[in-house]
Amino acid sequence: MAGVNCLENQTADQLRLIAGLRWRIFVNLLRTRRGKADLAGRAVAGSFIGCGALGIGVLLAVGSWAGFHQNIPLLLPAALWFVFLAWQLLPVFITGFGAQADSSLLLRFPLRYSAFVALTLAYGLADPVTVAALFWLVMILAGIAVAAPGALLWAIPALFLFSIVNLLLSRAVFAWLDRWLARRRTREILGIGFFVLMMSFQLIRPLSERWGKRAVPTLARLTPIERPFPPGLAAYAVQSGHNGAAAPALLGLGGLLAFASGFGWLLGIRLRAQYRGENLSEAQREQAGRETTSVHRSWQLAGLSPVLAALVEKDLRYLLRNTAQYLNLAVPLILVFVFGLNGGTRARRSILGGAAFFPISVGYCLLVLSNLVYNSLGYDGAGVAMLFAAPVRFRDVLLSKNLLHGLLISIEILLVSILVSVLTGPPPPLTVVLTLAGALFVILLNFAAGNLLSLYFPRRLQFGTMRRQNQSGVAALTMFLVPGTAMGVATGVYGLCRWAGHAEWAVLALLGLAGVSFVVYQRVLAASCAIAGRKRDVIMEELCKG
Amino acid sequence: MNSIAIETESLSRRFGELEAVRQVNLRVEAGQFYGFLGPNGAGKSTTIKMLTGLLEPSSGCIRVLGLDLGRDPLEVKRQIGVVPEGMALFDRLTGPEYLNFAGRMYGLDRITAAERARELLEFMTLADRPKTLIVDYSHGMKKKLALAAAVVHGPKVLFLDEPFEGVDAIAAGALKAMLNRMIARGATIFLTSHVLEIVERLCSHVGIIHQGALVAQGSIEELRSGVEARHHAGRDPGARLSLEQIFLDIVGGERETPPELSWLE
Repeated sequence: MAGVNCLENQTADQLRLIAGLRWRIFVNLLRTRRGKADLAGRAVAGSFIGCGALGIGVLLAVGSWAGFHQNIPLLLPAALWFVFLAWQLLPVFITGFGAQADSSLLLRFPLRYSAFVALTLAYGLADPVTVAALFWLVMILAGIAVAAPGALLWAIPALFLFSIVNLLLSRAVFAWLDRWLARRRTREILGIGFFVLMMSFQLIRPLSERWGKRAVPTLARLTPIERPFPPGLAAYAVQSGHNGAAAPALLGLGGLLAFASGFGWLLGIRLRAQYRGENLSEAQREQAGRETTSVHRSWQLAGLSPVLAALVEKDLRYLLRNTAQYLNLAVPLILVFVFGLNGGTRARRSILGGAAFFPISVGYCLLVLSNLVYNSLGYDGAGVAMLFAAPVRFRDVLLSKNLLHGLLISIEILLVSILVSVLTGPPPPLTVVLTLAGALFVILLNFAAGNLLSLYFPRRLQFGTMRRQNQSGVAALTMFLVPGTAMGVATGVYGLCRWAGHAEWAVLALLGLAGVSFVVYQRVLAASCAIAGRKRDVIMEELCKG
Repeated sequence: MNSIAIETESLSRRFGELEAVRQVNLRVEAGQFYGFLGPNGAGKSTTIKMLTGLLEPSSGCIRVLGLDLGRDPLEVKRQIGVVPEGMALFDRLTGPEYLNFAGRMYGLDRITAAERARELLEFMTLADRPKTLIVDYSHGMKKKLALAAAVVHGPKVLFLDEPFEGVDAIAAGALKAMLNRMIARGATIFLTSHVLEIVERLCSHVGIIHQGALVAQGSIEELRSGVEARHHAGRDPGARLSLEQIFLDIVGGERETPPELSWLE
């Protein structure tokens, strides 16, 4: 047919088109002021994560340098194992409990199998964890280059093959996990898995302080066991080659090649199935057996109007069904526990065991829980249209959310208090009163700012998902700036009173500030109906989409 | 009771440069089953959103049951039920929880809300999945649930945006029967649909919007007479115009000959 390219050119054209499509989507996001603000917010957040990745890269470079320079053979395999585990586990857990891109969207076009495979690998390469892991490998290479330039001859092919193995394995794992990741509940369970993994990293320090001395000999004993695996093989190839043993080095490289072929084969099986049109979308599961109708009466909450009670009940049910929010609530408690355990050294114990630990813990708790407040309509999704259609004042909608969040924050502070008391002994009564007065000031100010941001910069949030939440960049920045600034003011007030020799005066001053923030909160609440009315197009457009 | 259920005066809505709805003067009498028709992008959903308080008009006035929507939105919302474009469901609730919630939001007491929720779930054949979250419902089930929530408080005026889209024939039959019973009891129903056969079978009156302007309004018989009068010559006197023919005549669909796609030959 006229105007149709020959088949050989199509694959390259299609890949170019898809790359162009991704670029167009990005450019179109920047058309609005909100899109630009979001990008700026993400750039700031991304720069922090980038700094973290950079720091790890430097550590790995120093480790690989020291491995050759100081002749510590354990360091190179340890660095490669770290990269391997990060490359394989983090993407699975992070994107695993996010919504998956549906490859069938592309398969409706006459996409050749080779283009489909190339796209799968390209998506893998574009993953931030993969980018970070590749950077770490380059840093390891840099460390080797400085310590032992002669080892580069073996290090370059070994690490290149190692990265191919990792890329193919991560894609294969993703492709195989697609079956069960297609289910919402599985994604949510993986979310908890990720959380446990993250929290376990926090325990490394206290555990290493206790059992650290035994770790090195144990790791040394594990060397023969870990050698047949890709990180061990890569390290073996580099170290053997450096020591002039070409045959074992070639054996290591051959092992890596075998792994790459094996993982490529596994990936190929899944991709062929997907290419043939396998549908792994969120399938409707037929329930075995019919359930009986049971409609329970809605709750009656003392002191609340029926509408407020219904709203609080709905929000609590939403919260209880959202595993990602469980993590949010558990993080402050676990980190307070970790900080408490970490108070091993004398210097740290003097801070943590002192009066400062309680206010710091409560402050941290408030910072983390700001997440709940600054996009409080985000999980309502399309349901927000019902709130606009029903005879309900938006003031009540926000008030119900604030009541629930206030209750949660109070419970969280109570648990933090108990934890702090157990770990470092009960804080002095004046500290408790000062902290609670300061917390009241911060919470009310947070609610006022959070309600405004929820109306002006709403973002639809996915259940059971932490990454790819498309959180508004402005809200993300404000949720740290407002409580952070308020805590700074509260600390300043306390510092002034203490400097004047009357720390107890700070209680009155902080209660006064809480009074001011209460007035601000009330004003915002009173204005919320008018703001919601003005912004209802934007709110519904944002929350009802998708 | 006010005899006019829905009335608009010079209702307009602009989106930047685009005037999506211009100077619309609707008049729907109480007890009418009113179908609101128009081609894609004509302004149907924009109009229904404005009529239900989901979108602020750029200018003009809306009165529902004699109440000014701009001045007394809460009172208007108490009297109406809505199934908007996106169905407005809280998808992490179960069906019973959502209906209970909807009932409470419209001021029903706990016992009545629970009782009506149970009845509606049985009526909509959704009763066998009380623990399934709405997010796991099929499209048709969601539609039925949205309709159930719209009628849980017994509204006097019901606004339905494409109520039969994605609903199976059996459920559609039950829904039509329910809507007809509501009409028989004096309720007013305002619906949009692309399925003209459904509108023709259910509705007594229609309004046709085209490029943002209301181009025709009245009973189906009135519109048919108007079209027949214009095309008297050359018509078979015994042939009765369908709503589709009336619609195409009014919006000019028949006159527009689609261009040929040479490369499809």
